[in-house]
Amino acid sequence: MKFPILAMLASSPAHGYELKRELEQHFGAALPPLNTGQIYTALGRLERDGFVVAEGVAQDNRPNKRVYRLTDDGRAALEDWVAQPTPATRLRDEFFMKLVLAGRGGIADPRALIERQRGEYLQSLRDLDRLQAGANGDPAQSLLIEGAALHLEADLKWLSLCEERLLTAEVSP
Amino acid sequence: MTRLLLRTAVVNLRSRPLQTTLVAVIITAAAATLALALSLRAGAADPYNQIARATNAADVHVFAPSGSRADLAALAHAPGVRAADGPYDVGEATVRYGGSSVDMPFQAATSQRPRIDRPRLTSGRWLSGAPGELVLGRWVAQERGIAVGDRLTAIADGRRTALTVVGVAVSAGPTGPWVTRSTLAALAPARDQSGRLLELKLADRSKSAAFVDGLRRRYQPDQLSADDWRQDRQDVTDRTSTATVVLGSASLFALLAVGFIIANAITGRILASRRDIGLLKAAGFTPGGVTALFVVENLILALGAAIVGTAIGIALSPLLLEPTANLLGTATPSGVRPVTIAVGVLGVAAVVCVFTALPAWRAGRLGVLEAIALGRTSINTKPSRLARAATALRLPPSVVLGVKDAFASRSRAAMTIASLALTMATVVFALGAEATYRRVIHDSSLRAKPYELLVSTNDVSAPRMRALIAGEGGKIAGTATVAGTTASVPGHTVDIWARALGGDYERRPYAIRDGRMFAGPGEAIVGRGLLDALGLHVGDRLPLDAGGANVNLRIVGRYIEPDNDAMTAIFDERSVPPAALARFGPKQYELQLTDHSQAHAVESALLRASGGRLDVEATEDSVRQERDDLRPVLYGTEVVLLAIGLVNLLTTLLLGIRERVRDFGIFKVVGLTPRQVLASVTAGGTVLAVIAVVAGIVIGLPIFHALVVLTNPSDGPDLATAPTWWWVLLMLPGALLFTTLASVLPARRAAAIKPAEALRYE
Amino acid sequence: MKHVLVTTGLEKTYDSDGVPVAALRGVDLAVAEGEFVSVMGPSGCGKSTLLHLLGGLDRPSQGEVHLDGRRVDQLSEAAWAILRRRQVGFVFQFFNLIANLTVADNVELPGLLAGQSPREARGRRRELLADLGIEEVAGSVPSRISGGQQQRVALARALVNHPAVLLADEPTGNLDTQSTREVLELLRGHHERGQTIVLVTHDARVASAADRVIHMRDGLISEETRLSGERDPAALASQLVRLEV
Repeated sequence: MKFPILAMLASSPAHGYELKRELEQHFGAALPPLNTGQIYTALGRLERDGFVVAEGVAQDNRPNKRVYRLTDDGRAALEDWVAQPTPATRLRDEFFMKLVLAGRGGIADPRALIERQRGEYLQSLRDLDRLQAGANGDPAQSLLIEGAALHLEADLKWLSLCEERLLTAEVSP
Repeated sequence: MTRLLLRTAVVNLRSRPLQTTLVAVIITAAAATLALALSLRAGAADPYNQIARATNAADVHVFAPSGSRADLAALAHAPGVRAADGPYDVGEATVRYGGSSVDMPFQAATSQRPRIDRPRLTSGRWLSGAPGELVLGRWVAQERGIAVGDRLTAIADGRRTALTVVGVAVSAGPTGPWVTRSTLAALAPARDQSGRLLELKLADRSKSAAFVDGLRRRYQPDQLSADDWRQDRQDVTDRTSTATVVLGSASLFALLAVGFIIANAITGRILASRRDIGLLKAAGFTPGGVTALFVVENLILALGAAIVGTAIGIALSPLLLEPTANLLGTATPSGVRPVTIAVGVLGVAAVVCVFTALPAWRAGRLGVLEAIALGRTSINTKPSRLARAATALRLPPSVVLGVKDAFASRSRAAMTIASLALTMATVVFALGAEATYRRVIHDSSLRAKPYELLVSTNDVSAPRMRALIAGEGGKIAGTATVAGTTASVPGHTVDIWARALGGDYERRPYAIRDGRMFAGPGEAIVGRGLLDALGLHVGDRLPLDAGGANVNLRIVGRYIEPDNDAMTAIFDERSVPPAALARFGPKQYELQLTDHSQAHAVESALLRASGGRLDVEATEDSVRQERDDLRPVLYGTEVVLLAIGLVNLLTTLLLGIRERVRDFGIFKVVGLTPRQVLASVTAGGTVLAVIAVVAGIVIGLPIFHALVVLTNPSDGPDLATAPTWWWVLLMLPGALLFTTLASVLPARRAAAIKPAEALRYE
Repeated sequence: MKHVLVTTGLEKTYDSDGVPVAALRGVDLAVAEGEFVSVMGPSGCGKSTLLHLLGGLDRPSQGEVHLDGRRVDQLSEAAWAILRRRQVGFVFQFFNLIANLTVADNVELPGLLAGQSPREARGRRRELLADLGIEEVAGSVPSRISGGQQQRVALARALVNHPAVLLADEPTGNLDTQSTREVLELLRGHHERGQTIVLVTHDARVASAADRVIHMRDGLISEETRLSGERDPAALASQLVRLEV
């Protein structure tokens, strides 16, 4: 939660509730639902590290609200984060474990495993398309869905490769 | 580079065997036709020169009638004479053959052929020296249908001599048949027409007219007369002019059609390769290189095919040259002439080069991607009007598709139509010639011979003649007499031919085009040639100097006259003083029959009744003969052209189908049955052919008309007959049959296309 | 449930230079009315051959094909052609529009072949082109319009006679992402309106639009996946596209 908050504050200072609303606006359903408590915890930690400072602003008939502003350190940390290339997404390795181990130990037919997994991926693709239809043009979510779909297509291709390599190896020992 | 071009070209040719074969067949057939047409042109051109070259023709013929004291032998050494032959005895005798008889100028010869005017044998052999043998002139033999081995009877002074034809020969001179001296003496004792003939070659042929004039000044006509080669040429040309023009134009048509057909086939081949051109350019060929490749490729094909085709054409040429020579009375020329071979091979190669280079260059300039993309078809943004019409007419969808397909490539459609239309124009030409002959045969007035039989006699008296004719009774509708002579018009240098009619000529249906028939003495009808030559019009006066008397006539009408260049006048014999009329030629009898199909029956009856002392000529026969002789040549050319046209259409359709295999696959996918695909291809071909037929008729009729006028400037416009309408109508079903034939193979190929295979690859 | 298409023991052997090559080795398939079936598999697995046999573009070496309850594998080529006019629509990877006919002509052709009057065919064509959003290209020839438009025209031509089944052979194989999505959307739309579709593709995303995905290997159906549209979208969202922070 650290860097998204810093990024939100880069353009203008904001209080905690504003930050939550803006994040939700940018990422829509792609982010897990945020609760205000989470945001304040994160802000408290950032203030402690000297990345943000809080100022009390008086409000009529209400307690003062705290408006957070980015410090120079905070800006430097943010720029550092942005400048770093992001490592590739981790391979989903749990299925691969199952595949290799199931074959070796005779626990299950790897072919059935692959088939089931492929069904799962295809169903996911179909679900993504339905999700896409429901995204109503939210650009961030729509891009995210495309990204997920492309990952799934890659997974399916990888599955075919597994099938080809493992199963032919199995047939001709 | 050259080797690469050659290798690529050969690979390309071999990669499409069917297309290559078809184009090769077309070019072979075209080259064969070209060779045939060239041979035909050579055979039909300037028949006199052909004969003269073949027979060492005389420049001057000198004739001394019997009893003349002129020293012919001395003339052989006259100044300007290069060589002399003769003198030979000559004499006229009447020859009977079959039912008819004719006067012929016989010439005596030894077992050696004369050196000058040396008859060129076309069949049989020369005289052996045995009595009773006869060598006949080819023209007469052809006209009378006499062949080697036939027996003739010669009649003179009531004595008959049996003769056997041992040979047929061509000669440029006025005499022939040839018999031995003793035979001649037996059949033609000294009479008016007999005498001696000397043949001369001059040092300078162009001085022949002056030489003849000199002789005419020195000798009286009863002592010696002379003619030069110009007269021979005139005779030959007169007798062959129609045939020459008809054959000449038929061969010209053939040449044009051949050009178009080659252009069509080659252009189609290149259009079909547009996609390849794109690929070649992608592989680094320049536009020039692409052009060169296609030129090389097609030249390999064309040269091979042209050589084979020319050889075939030359081998076949006797089939056309033989009847041509028969028709023209010339010696049969050889088809093997360097000019024919060179023009055949090089001409085809040149046409192929041009029609390869142009489209290849244009295609070579297309962008690479454009060419690959366009490869399959040329794109029309709007459907052709015809296709829209077909849709509007609610024709079945398969037919509409076929029509649209036929015009998918406009340039190819246009080329195909043009080449087919030309072929069809030749059909119209042949039909027109046929119709004109039929009309002239049936309507004797168009020949200025408004009678069925012409009877002449030397030794039958007028009362006896009248009795003979009366003997045929009801079969004869009318009898007129005619006597002809050359006549001159005071103040003009030209001679005209005058005919004085007697008897019941009033009902004679001459083909009067201006004015009316003459009604009595002092009036005349004339041919157009006379009017043109003298600058006269119907209504003008025509003073004649005929038979030594002045005859004053008024022109009251113009009639169609195919002979004597239409420089003719016909009038009542009572316009001429009897003394002058006696100096006209012998009186002949023109018999009009109640039924013209009876001509030959009446002819034989008269001959029988007169004991063979009459010469009876059926007027239809000569025209009929001419038509019969022309037919094989004309129809032969026609058949060849139609055959080429067929292969041509076939190739066009096949090329179209090869390019559009995928489209046919789709046709089937959307539900066209094989039969409908078949129908669609046939419909496309049919539309092309029908348009070509209509265009062929439209251009063929005026061309035919123009050619007839060219043949006969004076009366051509009146003679040219449009082909009988039902024959022209028959051309449509004919064209359908033609297209069906041409479409069978392509349509079956299209129908057999397997959609799964056609659509599998891009 | 009524089956529109049923095959039993379908085999196809090609002759390749004298060597028999088996493209299909016994395919049993049943497509229910209104079902959308995708066929996937590596190239050469026989999926296009299967489609061709289903549409009668080729003839099986062995086995049966039933279309709308009628046995059709032994029909003559002509009978198949007539059957295709009403019962089968085809869409291909390379659009396969007839190059020298306009878009309008291409779409009207099957109607005219099926015996509609030109007026009816024209009306149906207008309706379909408008539905597919391409009425403005009706007068153009295929080569002048984009690939996506061509494929929509091909779709219109395939659907014009309300066929019992639409057979699509890699319909998006030659299209960009945007056009792929549009064409897929159209297929999905017609499927929702009850159109039976059999679609051959190697693109998993396209295949996943179907109710059922069939995998082929070496001329046999190797596996079959039924896809459902029942999963809860919200749950899906949390599972599939949730950023981890």
